[in-house]
Amino acid sequence: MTERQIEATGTSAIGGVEPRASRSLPVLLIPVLGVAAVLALVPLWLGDSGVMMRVSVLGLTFACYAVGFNLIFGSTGQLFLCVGALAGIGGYGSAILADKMGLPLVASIVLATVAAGLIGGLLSWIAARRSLGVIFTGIITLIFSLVFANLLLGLTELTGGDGGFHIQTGADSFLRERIPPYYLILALLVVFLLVHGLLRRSRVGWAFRALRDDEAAAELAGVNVARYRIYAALTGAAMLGLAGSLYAFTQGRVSPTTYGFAQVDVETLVMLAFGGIGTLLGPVVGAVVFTTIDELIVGLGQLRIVVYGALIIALFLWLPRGIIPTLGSLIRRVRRQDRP
Amino acid sequence: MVRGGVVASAITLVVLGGLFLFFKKTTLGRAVRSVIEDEQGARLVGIDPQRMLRLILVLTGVMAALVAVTRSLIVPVSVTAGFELTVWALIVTVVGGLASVSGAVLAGIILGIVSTVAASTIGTFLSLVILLVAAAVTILIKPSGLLGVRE
Repeated sequence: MTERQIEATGTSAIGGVEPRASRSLPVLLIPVLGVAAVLALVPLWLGDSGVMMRVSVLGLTFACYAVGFNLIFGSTGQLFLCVGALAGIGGYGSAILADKMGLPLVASIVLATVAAGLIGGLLSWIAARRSLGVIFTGIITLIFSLVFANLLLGLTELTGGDGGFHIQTGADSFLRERIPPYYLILALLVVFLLVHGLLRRSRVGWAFRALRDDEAAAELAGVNVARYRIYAALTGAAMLGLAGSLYAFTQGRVSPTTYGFAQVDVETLVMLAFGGIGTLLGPVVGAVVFTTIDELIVGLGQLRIVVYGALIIALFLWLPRGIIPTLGSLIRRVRRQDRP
Repeated sequence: MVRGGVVASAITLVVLGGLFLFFKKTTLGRAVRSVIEDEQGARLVGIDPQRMLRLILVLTGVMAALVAVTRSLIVPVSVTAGFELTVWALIVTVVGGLASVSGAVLAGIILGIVSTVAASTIGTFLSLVILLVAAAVTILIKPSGLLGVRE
């Protein structure tokens, strides 16, 4: 491959590409349930502290965002720089529907999730229609993010402007207790991982891998590239919307910074890049590691960002494929040496 | 403030003029443009693309620092201004047309005027929304940008 070709195929050069996904169900279930079991033990350890549980819930929410973004970017190579905006459509949408329009909690969450999915699908459709490349898709979705952020700030009567607003709905339910929200978001994460995992081992997964590795070849082999991209964007955006919505109700409050570009998109991208773009468990590993690091250096205040920046530079220099693909090839190499 | 604006404009005009001359008239400027247009072709006539890319990055850094200086003549400097400027630079570049200096200048002037006028007439947030949508529509209708070369 020449440099140009690597550039054109985009994600396969950035991310870790798994050669194939195993068809057997245990190979999918065991790692997902294993991760879920480990994460389920966290409240036993940190459950006494309200602050730590809030941090953990945020970490899990980021894992959910990263899975949704991974489906869009890692699987089909669409650089959606509007993770926060799509999550915000879920969060603000459901909060406004429930609080200001008086809809039931579940109905408002479903509606907001569907809205986020449809908007993600629409963005993907536009990108496919105009055959935008990675960079242009990124810029269009970035503009969408900025529009959304400015609408949040501008439509003060609906959104509460700069400070956001407190959500009344669900104020007395289990959503505001200390530990139940953690298991709610964890369950959501497991569902997301299973959906993504099942997609990967189905025909859709083959189509994703084909179009990510070589778009033109996939098209020639009969894969409708645009359609699969739109499917991925619909599903991924709905995931982002649902995660954003549930997170809003567990916090009891929404504000522009909850879904800001710098707060959500940048972090999600870094977590995914650390874990391994395109891998199943990479998003979770990235989210757990970065939430932990963030908590460890919380004493540094604003200087945290410096540490963060240094980590990201180191990451892209020494671990460009992410931790899971790097570990995977290490293990494969060790195994090959074991065999005579 | 007004005097700062005049000084900033003067500096910008001189630098832009210099940049145009550099790209149009000097051998080095032509070499840079040739790499942007056709990397392989540039290599064939003996231009090192890596060197030119390094030069472009250095120029970018110098220009960005200059923008920060001229901007500080008009508005107060703040820590978080960087992100906003980055986003604006990205949008202006794409609207004007990638790899087109004159396009970037034209798009910068148009977007700058529209944003300033709109902000004072219909409020900051909604004017920004309109401006961003306009930029998105421009990109979608003409991906090569206002003055970009159609491939």
